[in-house]
Amino acid sequence: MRVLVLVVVLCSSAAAQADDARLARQNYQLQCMGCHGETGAGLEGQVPSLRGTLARISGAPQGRDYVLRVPGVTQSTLSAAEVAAVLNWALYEFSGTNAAKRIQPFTAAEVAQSRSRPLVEVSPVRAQVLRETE
Amino acid sequence: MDQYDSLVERLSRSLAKTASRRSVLRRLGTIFVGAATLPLLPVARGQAGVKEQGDATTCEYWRYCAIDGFLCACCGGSVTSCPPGTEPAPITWVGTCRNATDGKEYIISYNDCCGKSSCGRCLCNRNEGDRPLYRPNLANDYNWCVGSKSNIPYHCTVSRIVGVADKK
Repeated sequence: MRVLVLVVVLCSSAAAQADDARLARQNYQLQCMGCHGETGAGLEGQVPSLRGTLARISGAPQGRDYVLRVPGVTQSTLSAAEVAAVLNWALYEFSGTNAAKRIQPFTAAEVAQSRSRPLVEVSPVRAQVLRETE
Repeated sequence: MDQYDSLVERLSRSLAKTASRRSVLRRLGTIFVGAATLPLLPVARGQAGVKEQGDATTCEYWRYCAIDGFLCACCGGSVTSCPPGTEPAPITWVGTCRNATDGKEYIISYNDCCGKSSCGRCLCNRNEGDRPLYRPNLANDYNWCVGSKSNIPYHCTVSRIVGVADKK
């Protein structure tokens, strides 16, 4: 009986996680995909790619601070919790499970706090963060 | 509870007689993994499996609910493909439209096709959900060809289904 209960709990938990992932994907498609693209590849020279780089940048304190202060995060019309969910979904979607697992998940509190500190000059900060996280 | 126990015992014994342990483990594994991963599968990628009605060369076609531009379906292309000699802009704007045939809200990507001068046929400007220019990802007045390799010349717009907006 305990095994049955455990199986039911595990299945419910998996279904809830799948629901959260679908909502995060939907929010990415509606709010971010127009520029970053369906695959997160961005547009060379104009829109930063999220593929691979998101986890790499987010693993360093200065990179994490950068991610939380880019215009797409600070100016988003989504709630802080929804933005955090999109970031965490994007980590796995665009950087792969192994890289994403090493990153502390983004939280709604971090996103809410960063909104009062938007980046003004984005490109130089990104270039510096990329150099420092090579 | 006794009845439940005896029922489980009967089922277990019957299962043990007809199947090996590995076979049972394999089947159970398939069921649990399948049940857990099924909801993660991509939904309605592209146009496959979407039941729909309407004429894609008219502004009333359901996917055009938020369009502002010339329909590629009238310009030598189709509802999803750019006409020859043009290329889709990689930067797009995205909205949702309700498909009356199945009652679902779909996420639509409006890709401008660029590289030739304006098509001039089937101009549609429905603007449902359109927002001012200071909300660029929800504004359809931009010429998104500025992001394409062929740059500014705008020809027409296609409307691709990229997902289902079924989560609130």
